Amino acid sequence: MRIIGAVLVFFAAFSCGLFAGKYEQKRIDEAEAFLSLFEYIKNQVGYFLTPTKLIYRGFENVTLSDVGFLEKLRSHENDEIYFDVWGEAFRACEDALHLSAEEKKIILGFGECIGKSDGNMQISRFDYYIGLLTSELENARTVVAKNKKVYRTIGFAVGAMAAILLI
Amino acid sequence: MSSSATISPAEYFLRAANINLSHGIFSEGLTEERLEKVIRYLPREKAEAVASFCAARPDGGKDVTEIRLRAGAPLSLTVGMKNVILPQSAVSVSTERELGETLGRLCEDSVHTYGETIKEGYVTLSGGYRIGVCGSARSEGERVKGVYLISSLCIRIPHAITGVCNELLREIKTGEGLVSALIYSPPGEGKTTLLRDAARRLSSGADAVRVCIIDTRGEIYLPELFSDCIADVMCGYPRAKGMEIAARTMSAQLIVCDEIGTADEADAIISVSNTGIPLLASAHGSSFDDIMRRPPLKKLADAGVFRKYIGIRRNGGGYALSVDAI
Repeated sequence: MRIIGAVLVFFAAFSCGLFAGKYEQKRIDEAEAFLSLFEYIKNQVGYFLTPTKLIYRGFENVTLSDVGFLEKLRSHENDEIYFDVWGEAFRACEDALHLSAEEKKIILGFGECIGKSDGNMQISRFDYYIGLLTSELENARTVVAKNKKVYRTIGFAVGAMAAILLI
Repeated sequence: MSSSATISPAEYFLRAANINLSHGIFSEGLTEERLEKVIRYLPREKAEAVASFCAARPDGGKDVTEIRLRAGAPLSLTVGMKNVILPQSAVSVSTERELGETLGRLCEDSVHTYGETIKEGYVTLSGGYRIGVCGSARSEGERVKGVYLISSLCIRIPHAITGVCNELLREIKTGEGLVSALIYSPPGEGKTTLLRDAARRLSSGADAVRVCIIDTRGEIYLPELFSDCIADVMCGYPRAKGMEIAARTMSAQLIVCDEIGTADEADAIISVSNTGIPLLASAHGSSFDDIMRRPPLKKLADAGVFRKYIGIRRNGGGYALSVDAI
């Protein structure tokens, strides 16, 4: 009985470590999703000159769909007066996102440039924000990879210790 | 103003629109609806000022044809043929920032989509609105590369007036069919209204002809007026290219085109006229002599493209036509 309890405690602690790592991974997934949306918008503005309210129609991404961001963006296609939809959509989904404060700031900053100036000016501002998010993402990847290992190790160690104590 | 901090910008301006509506001035009618729609894009105080002005007028602002915003100067309205300047105050005077934001809203946050036409000095919205835009330009030779610091916006309210083309139709419908005609007048005298009404009448009913409208600036075609017509509309096409397509692929029986006047357009028109398709076009000019002084239009006259030159003369609320046949 004691052994079964020890095994259960061990697995519970180890799973906690794994879940903590997965939670961190969500931040990476979301940042990557936004980065691909940035690139998509840049292409739509720079090459197709697509009106802003129709830009989001063709973009598909599971991560951003799951948090409801894409749906929010698209829900304004028929608005008679259309502007600042990005900020509104982001704020509506903010609680569901796992991004850092800095990443959120970059994403809001990117949204503020969409459609506000001519194509070339927008592209250069998009590139600036893409650069910022890419560098944040690189840092996050390193940190998250390290954290995942730490959480796993801590989970394993705590589980093992608890199991040993129980036995 | 304090409420703006707690609501979204979109809601903010929709609320401004409701304030306008509460004046009860836009009861019914196409012109009023159009005025109401365009007021929603203005900065809140300006929207209210325009709505109050319209409310105070006996006709509820039906005769307002333009709303003009200028940086550092008071808002003005074109009422009939008169310029009415609102009293100078913090409310009526616009800032450069307000003009930039208004242009952004008018473009539905898609300045990149309208970038090329902004360089040409205008933005066209759906529904026939044309917004004249000027500011500081960055140019390269004769080419405008970009416009920044918007200093003036001229919002023209399209007037869907119908039943005004009878006299024009009498001139262009002859025993041998439709003949090509050029309508001329100074700006704002009703050339587009006349063209639109003629295009609508000729493309509807039992004797409808296939009219192809080259609507480069999106001012002629109003969907609600053409719902029972057989008109093909080419929005945003350069006139010369549009005419070529109308003749080559759309087998038009009449081509309608607004504000011609460049050398390229003259060449395209001469080419189309050789296909036998009649053309109903308009150009700026206060007299036949004025028209003949413009080289591209003179070239068209020399080529015998237009059989009739029809001038519009405004007299009070109506207008009269003067016809020069060639």
